Amino acid sequence: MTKKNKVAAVVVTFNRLEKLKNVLHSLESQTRLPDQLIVVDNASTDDTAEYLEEYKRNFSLADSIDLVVVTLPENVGGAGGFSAGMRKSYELGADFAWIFDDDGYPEPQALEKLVEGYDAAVSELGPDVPFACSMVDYIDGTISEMNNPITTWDWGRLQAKGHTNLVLVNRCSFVSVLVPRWVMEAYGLPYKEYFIWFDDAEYTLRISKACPGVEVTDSVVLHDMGENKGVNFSMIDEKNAWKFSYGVRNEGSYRLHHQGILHFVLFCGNVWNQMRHGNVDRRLRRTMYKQMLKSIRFNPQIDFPQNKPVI
Amino acid sequence: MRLRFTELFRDWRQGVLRRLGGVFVDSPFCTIPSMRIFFDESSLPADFWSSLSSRQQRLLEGALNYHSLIQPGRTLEYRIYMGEKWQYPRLCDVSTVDGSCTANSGMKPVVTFRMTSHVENQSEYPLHYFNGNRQLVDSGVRHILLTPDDATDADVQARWPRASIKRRVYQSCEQRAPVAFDYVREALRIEREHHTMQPIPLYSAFESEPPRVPGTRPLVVNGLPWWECPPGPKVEGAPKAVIIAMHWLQSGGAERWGMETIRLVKEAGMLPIVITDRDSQQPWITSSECDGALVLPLIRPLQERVGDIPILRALFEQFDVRGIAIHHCQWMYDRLWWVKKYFPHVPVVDSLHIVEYVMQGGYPREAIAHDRWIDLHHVISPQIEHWMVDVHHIDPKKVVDAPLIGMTADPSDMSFRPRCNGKALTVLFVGRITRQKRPEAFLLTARELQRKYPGRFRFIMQGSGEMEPFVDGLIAKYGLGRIVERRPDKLPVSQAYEQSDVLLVTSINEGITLTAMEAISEGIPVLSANVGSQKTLIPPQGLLPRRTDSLVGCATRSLAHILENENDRERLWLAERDRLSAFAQLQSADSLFRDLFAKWSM
Repeated sequence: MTKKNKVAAVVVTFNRLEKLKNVLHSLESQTRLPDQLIVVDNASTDDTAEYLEEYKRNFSLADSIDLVVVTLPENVGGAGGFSAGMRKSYELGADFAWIFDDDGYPEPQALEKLVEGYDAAVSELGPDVPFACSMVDYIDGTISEMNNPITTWDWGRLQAKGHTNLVLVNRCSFVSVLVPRWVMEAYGLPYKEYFIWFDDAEYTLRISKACPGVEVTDSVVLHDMGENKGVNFSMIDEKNAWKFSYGVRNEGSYRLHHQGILHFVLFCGNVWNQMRHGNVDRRLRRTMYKQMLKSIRFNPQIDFPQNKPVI
Repeated sequence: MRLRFTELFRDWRQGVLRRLGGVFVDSPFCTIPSMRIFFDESSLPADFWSSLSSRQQRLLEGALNYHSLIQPGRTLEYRIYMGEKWQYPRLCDVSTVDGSCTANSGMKPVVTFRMTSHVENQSEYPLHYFNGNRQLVDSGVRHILLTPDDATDADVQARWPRASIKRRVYQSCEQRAPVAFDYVREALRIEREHHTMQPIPLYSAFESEPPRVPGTRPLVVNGLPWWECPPGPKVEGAPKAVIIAMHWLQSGGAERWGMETIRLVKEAGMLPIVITDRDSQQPWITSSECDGALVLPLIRPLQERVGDIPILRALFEQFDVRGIAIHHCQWMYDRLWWVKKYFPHVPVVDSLHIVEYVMQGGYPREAIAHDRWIDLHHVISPQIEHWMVDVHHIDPKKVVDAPLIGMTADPSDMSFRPRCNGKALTVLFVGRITRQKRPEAFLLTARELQRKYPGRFRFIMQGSGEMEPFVDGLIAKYGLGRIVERRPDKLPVSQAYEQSDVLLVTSINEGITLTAMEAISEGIPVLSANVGSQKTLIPPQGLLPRRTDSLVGCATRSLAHILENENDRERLWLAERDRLSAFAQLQSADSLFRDLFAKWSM
């Protein structure tokens, strides 16, 4: 990436003002500042809007960073927020969108290292590297259990060439991902219809079909989630069932419409099996089965940023 | 050694300059503006370059220019492979990016070098391309495959996968009972002919259809988005140029006319940009017409995007394109929407030769389907003019009948040629050995004449093509090896005329054959199947029925008559000469295009 390339940091937030403040502070401390900062307020109902208004008014880095606040009329979930934020970055002419949630705190060198890592990958693999993502740690410094990228079979290819901080991956979560402009043009934006869950997996799988992305292990982001543990369908309970519902529908749709019926059947069997082993409440299980059925008809179309949204 | 390298390089560079539009000191076309070379020629290993034949050099030049044009300023690694006779060159299709025909097939490059494009881009050129839904991963390497000079279409076809059962049944019937099978084929032809009379839907590929209400709906085709990439301004001092879009650079009537238009473009002081779009060994790339032209032998699929055609964009930025002439080039037809979208005043003319019955109407059908972007349809026979104007209601003002008189024949100074050999009459077949030319009818006539008049006839078949194995099989089957002489199309055709007494045209379909005009000009009469507009040149006594069995019978009787009646051979020729002279009174294609190019160059 040459120096002239513009990076737009895209932060999606919803009712987590205190965490957002930490994110903004982390961004201001970057050794390589983003050229644009796009904060997508997902129709927050707390004081986020007022805070952002004031933050913008008193933005100390206004000379270096072009700050844009996008306030959505309704909460469209993380997926909708990322889609809107990436579209905005495209419209503003950014060459790269650097996306993360409002609970991801990039370490001071996170962007600098991410950009360097991306450049190194491009120099080795060619111009088609679709993304670079950071190492995601939990706030205590241990690895974040639910944000481990999935490596390719030849994950060490760049390591063998001396790039010890680069690992080839084809799937990661939206906690610090650098997405080039051409990827948005060629592959479109994340499915906003997913609302939440599996939008990041689907998107990174979509854009890395031809060429893998890279995880830059010395670009570190701290993920401030409540509890550091992975997720699977045996963990469904009353409190989180709404999220898992989206997860089942979205992943079921992906398996069926993008991978084929066999993958869909295997996925459904796996969900069934995990819920059985986890003794998930039968009513919640029925909810998930309904979501599986819903995924048969749920097949959103790709939005491309160069096209105006469908009216 | 160093001196020798320098000399070699200088010679090569001069050669490139000369061919790519450098000033021709000793050429009549010295008004052609000098042209840029789009790559850093000093990176090319001189010893490798000098080891290539001139055909291979020009193919490689075309490939390097193509990649340099669509990747401006970029340094790419080129790996050059030397293929076998059964392969076609791979110069710029997507296999040159992914190496699927070369590196991934286990081939080793004969030379590798890095070369930088010197193109000054006037708009943004992407690095990322898709082939269908599959992204082409660009590792910065281009795999170029060259082939030996003696490679032919027959060599390639000999390695084709085994034909389908349907195809094999067809071939078997054709080989075993060509006359009986002709009834089936004639029935198919009549059905196809009927089909060509039906209305032709206008071309409406995705590229040509802008969003109904701009800005309100996304335009996505097969999951790929529309890319709006308007071309930038022309570079300063961009030379005037005309795009000549051809099928390929090998023998054929349309190709001969295409080559002539290249010459006419140069004569008008402009630079010919020659584009082809079909797999071929491109033997004519070394012809003098291509001297000074920018030749881009394109092979599809190219690196293109929905809504964006980088190679056309580059050409319109690097050259002052004054017009486009199409000679059977599907790629160009399908991209005319782009030209007219951004350059509505650039004139487009296409040349059409015959009404075609296969491929749902072939190129004439394409001309009609793309009519809204074409300013002038040049046709070479009244038959096709009637088909376009009266059957398909193309604006008569847009259709001009200008025969290819003067290009291959000179009707002003013709005289009858006496028999070459007092004993035997030599019958000539000239043309590509393809289905359209119906070579089996010629051989059946030869068999019949040999049976009835042994030793009184000899036959020359000059031409190459996909049906050569079939023809060789029939010659062997009928035992005609001693009386039928096969000649490749590389030999000068004038020699064949000198050694022949009558030309037999057996084609299933034609416009007006160039070979008939040539033969008449050379003083030998023509017997021809009554197809297309052949009756314009051939009087009734020289016309033969269309169906194979009738054609063979009539041709046998006519040739036997000519054998014994030299006066009637001369009378036939005189009648044909008169018709050719009358035909030559029409504005010739040469004259039409000379006027057109003169206008375009102003």
